Amino acid sequence: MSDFRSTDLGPLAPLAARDRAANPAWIDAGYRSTLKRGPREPLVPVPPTASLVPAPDLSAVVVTEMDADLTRNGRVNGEPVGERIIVSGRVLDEEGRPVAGTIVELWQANAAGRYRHPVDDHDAPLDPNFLGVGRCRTDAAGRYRFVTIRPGAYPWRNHPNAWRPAHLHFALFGRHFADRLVTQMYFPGDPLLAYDPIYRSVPEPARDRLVARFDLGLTEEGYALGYAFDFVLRGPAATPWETA
Amino acid sequence: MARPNRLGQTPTQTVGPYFAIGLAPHRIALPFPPLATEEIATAEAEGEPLVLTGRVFDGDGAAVADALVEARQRSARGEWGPQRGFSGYGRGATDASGQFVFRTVRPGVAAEDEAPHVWLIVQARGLLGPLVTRMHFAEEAERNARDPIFLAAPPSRRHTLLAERVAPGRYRFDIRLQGENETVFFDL
Repeated sequence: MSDFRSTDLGPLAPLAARDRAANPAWIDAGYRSTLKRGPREPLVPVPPTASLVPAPDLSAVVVTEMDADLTRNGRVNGEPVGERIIVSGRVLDEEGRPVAGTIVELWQANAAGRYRHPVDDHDAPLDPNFLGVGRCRTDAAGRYRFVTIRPGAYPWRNHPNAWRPAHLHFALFGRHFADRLVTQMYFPGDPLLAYDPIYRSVPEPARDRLVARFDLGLTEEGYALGYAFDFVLRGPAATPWETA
Repeated sequence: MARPNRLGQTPTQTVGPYFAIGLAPHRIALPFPPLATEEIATAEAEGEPLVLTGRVFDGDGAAVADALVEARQRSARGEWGPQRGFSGYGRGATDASGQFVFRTVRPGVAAEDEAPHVWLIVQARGLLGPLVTRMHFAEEAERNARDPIFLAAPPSRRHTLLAERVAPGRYRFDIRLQGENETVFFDL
């Protein structure tokens, strides 16, 4: 929690490689913006010690309960419109160990599928009582919890009649700077997933890792539906003879 | 490589065009306190003040106006921080001309074979994951030539890791995502 220090778990060990087989390629024919932005040269291998850069120490940053409640942190003259949801889970490394004291950042569209951002010109209403931003610090068990509004789907210009499935954007660090995870969480059963090139940029076997699970146990009776979603960050690197 | 008995890593997705809401709310005047800003060090920090700027370009040489650039560096004493006036971490977002800026101090080093440097992670719409690179100082040729991470880059591409001094205390480091002089991105 707030007394977390990156030294609590001892010195940093070299970080396991990013599992490229579970991650999108840089150039994805279905996602147009990648064509001119994704690098074409191969990533340059580095010695394992290059990963020994600690994530920023944000232990002094005050994170309040209100920061994690998007139904309250943007109120001006009433409640935001839409379906209240709870999104909760754990931040773990590949070996299942909790990542305690890390900050999880969330941003999203409102219930109508509109972002509170100057470049979003989608013809859908802004909600004066919804910012669409929150943050949370994981507890000793690596657990986080947000209360928010289920975001709407929205159109984008990637291809004709293109719609993004409802999603939440998340950003977090593990103990290493290189263990940066920016991802999107989707909702189970969304028919738009089958048509979304961003979701489908993830190789098929790993795609369902981005879909939350409905969880009646997380649901608050009479208040909000619950969704469970865990983040799995990278773990310690294998010993040298395993990587050979 | 996935190993048995391990949990599967969560895949990355693009930061998208609206990341400022969550990661740089101060850049769009959103009333939510930013977790980090362009200020890696304040005037209180020990060391020589530096301004690092650069522009991000796509494969056509067009400015990337919606990139997130995160920076991580050692303090003047060669420590990761935080220390007085020094967070060791900055978050910048490019403007309409593709430019980012960080206010910091000259980084120190912690080993004989380490050249002063600033790690950078670039993300944007159209990037499906984080790109990791490292800014070195062009005038530190001797130290750069001893640094194993700088040397990991192919010799013909090492110049893409060098920041150019444009004025006293001011450096420029452009990032080319693709095409001619594509910046070296490390497999990290």
